[in-house]
Amino acid sequence: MTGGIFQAELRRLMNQPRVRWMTVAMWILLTVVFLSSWREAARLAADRTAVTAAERARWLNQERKDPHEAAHYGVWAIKPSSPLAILDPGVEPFLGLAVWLEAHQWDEMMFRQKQDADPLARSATSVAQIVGLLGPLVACLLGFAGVAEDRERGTLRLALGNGARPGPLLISRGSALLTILVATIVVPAAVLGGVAVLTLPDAGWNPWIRLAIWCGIHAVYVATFLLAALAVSLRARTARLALATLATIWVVACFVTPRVATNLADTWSPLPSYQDVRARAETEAPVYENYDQWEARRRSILEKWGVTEDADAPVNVRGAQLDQAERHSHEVFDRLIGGFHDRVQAQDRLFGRLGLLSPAVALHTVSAAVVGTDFHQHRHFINAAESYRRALVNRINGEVMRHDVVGNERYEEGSDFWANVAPLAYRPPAVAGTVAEVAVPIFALVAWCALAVAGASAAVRGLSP
Amino acid sequence: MRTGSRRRIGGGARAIAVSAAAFLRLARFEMGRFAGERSTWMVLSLLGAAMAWGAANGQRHVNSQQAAVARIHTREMEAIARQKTDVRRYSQPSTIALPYWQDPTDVAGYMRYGLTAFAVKPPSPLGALAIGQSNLVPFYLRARLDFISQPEAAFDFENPRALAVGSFDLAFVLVYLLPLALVVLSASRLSAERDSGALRLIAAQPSGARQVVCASFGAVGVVSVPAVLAGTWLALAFAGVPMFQARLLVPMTLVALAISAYALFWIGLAALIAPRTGATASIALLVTAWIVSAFLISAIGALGLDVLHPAPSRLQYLDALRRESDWTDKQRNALITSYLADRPAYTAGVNRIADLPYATKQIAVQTELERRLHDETSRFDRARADAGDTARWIHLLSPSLVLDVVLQTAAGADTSRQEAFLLRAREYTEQLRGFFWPRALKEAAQPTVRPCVGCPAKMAFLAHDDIPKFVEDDPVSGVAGRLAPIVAYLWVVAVATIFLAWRPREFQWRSF
Repeated sequence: MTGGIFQAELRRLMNQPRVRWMTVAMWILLTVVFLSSWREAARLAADRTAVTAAERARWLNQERKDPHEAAHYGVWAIKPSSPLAILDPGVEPFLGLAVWLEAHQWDEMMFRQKQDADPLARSATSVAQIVGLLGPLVACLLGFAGVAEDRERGTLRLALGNGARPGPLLISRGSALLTILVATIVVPAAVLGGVAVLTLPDAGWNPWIRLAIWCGIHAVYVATFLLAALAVSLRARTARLALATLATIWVVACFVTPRVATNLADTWSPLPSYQDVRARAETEAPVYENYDQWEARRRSILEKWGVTEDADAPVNVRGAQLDQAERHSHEVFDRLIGGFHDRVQAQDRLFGRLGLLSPAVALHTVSAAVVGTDFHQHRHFINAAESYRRALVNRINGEVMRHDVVGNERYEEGSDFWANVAPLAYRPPAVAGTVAEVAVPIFALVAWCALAVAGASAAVRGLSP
Repeated sequence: MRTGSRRRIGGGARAIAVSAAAFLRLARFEMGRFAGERSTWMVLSLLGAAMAWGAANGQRHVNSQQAAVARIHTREMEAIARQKTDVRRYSQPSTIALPYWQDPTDVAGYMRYGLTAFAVKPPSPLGALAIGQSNLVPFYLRARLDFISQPEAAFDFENPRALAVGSFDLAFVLVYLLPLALVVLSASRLSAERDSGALRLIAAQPSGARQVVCASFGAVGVVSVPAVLAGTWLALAFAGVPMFQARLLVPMTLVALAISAYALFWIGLAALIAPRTGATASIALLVTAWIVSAFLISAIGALGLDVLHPAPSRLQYLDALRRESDWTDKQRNALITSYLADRPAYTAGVNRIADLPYATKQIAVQTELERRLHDETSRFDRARADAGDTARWIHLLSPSLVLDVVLQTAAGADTSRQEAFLLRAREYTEQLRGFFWPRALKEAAQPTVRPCVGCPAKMAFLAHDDIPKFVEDDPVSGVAGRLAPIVAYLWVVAVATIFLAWRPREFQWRSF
């Protein structure tokens, strides 16, 4: 019987012009936003491939030179984006595209897309934002239209008066509404995500698994709001009160709370001034050391080898000075910049825990993490690039140390040496680790959904037509 | 059920005359009723609390920027003090062999390796009004003579997640939450009476429809607008904004006018919609209007900007930069030779190319590099300017975007101030080049004879106190002039909306 009611309810909903219009409007909106994002993502992917190849060619085609000069020449590493970034760009537009890997410095990622754009472009929306913001609105409107209006018109009373049991009737109606909701929001997003995976470089992101998880959490998310809408519509005395309550829930949960959570996270887990962190790093590990620092390194190296003159040392003292300064900078960078990144991640984790305040907060954290556009995965790349830089510079300094020169002689390397340096091969983090990182907000999403189920069940039990 | 008995109100012979005294009684009654409702003060209190929190968050951001600016100035001063100490130390005979890049008296070494100078955009005293773009775009740029200070190279880390979500500042409360509060207060006025049938009773009274609507929604305006203005003032004052400064009076008055116009626009919209529909439809329509004004127009506008003025590829720019740098680096000696040969005052340096330091040669290399990249960099400037021009028109489509622009402008976080800052930062770099480059070129042509035999320092550059300093702008200067036309436009929109709600000759009781 329930199956029959479900089919009847589904047919009834699909025959409603406003449901059809809402569905078509969402499909069009999602497609337009997707196509706009896809155009930019495809161009970026092509540029990334071309520039990465050009950079490699430049590295290989360097003329003979002092290897330390080559370390200063460096190489640009360009971050490979997940193809699903097209669904949820997360933090990527606010972070750089590329980083210069050179001697002495842990450079910042450069070319932040949002910094380049007009401020209005900051309002640019994405598939995830539409699903995250308008999905609950559609759910609320469907829930409202599915029950509150029926109650207002008296058709629900009529159905129950004819012997229909409230439980099966509302379960069937809720299932039909959920089917419509998923078809309106999640299915098109999944299809668009599939198009992105098929047409953009994979780059080792395991995009199909990520897409499946992403669709699953968004289905849970919109279902939560639908169930909440049903509960409110069943409980509210009038349709007007139901609509006002649902509108308030939508605004507070999806619009206000994420910003509140951002400020709470910033208040409870504040970040130090990055400008101050960078200034301290520059003071403790200057790119160009002064005479005293440089001379102190020379003395410590000579002392280590038990000699008093550079020429008597078994290594190239300049190379050893460079090596020592470089390794010192690694310790400083790890402590100061790495410490700062730890604080950022701690703040992000706190924000994720604040998903207990609203499912929208939890979704914001989980969605970006699953598609690979949160800070945790950004950091994975910058750490990988920094490790590559350190290995490259250490190797070059090692070569300089091993080749002693006298007077104005210059030690130089050529194409064989450049070719021996492998390019940066970046592998994105595993999906399991990524999901584990956002376990708390995932739990929060599930808890919100369970709460909505409980609320809807209680409302059905207490139904008074 | 329609009875067909329509009475046209608002002029003409059929209008029912209502005396001014009767209207005032009605208005007083409506105001008393609205002011006496607990929900009114609950909504306004919540809004006030949100304003206070938003202003406090904004002021915290201002304080952190002020602290950063203070640290920058300290760093500049400490660097100069340290370098002057080094000058004294290295001016004594010593066995130290000082390379040029460690010598604070070598002008070429100093300008490349020792210079610590910044261009700074200080936060406005009204910065608590809106964080705007100020947490995304750089507010300080280190001057480096090797390249014009490029904003894309500047990076001051703010948690990118917070940038993506947005800040809970006063602008957020005023632009987004204020309309919702007004919708809550006014969406069911007269529409609820329509649902309950009481509107028929009201229509049967001597008061005309226009007077009833005017009194009902006027009460919302008379109570809410002063409350919102007072809340804004108090929120800013408690956050620590110097509200009694005379120079802030005009900008704050314009901001108050803008907020009033914005609030009146939403009350006018409610007056336009609510009496003509049921409460449910009224809520739905007003929330839809809010979504359109606050989100849809900006989202569609952003898409439009992306299509009409796509930003040039930064990666292609990077590729061009590397390619041209490779070329200029390979031509370093040829470029400096040509550069010196073209300038009679420094021609003598042509004979000393091999002895010239890398930093001096970079003068010619950088000049040529910038010439070769001029078209590339201009494309970005042009695209940004074109997008800005289009964005200004798009803003006019949404009162929410207009108020946002007003608040950002008053807060000194608007695009025009940022563009001006970037331009002045470039000019400052040029000013520093004008200070250092002739000295370095003169040194290349006619090297200073060391005045102190056996001293590590070259003693060719001792004018550390004369290095040009960046002159910060006054964040409040010129703000009133930029605000006035936008505020006027907002008033035009508000008055037009109220006029539509009024609609002489058309407004009538319906659906009895």
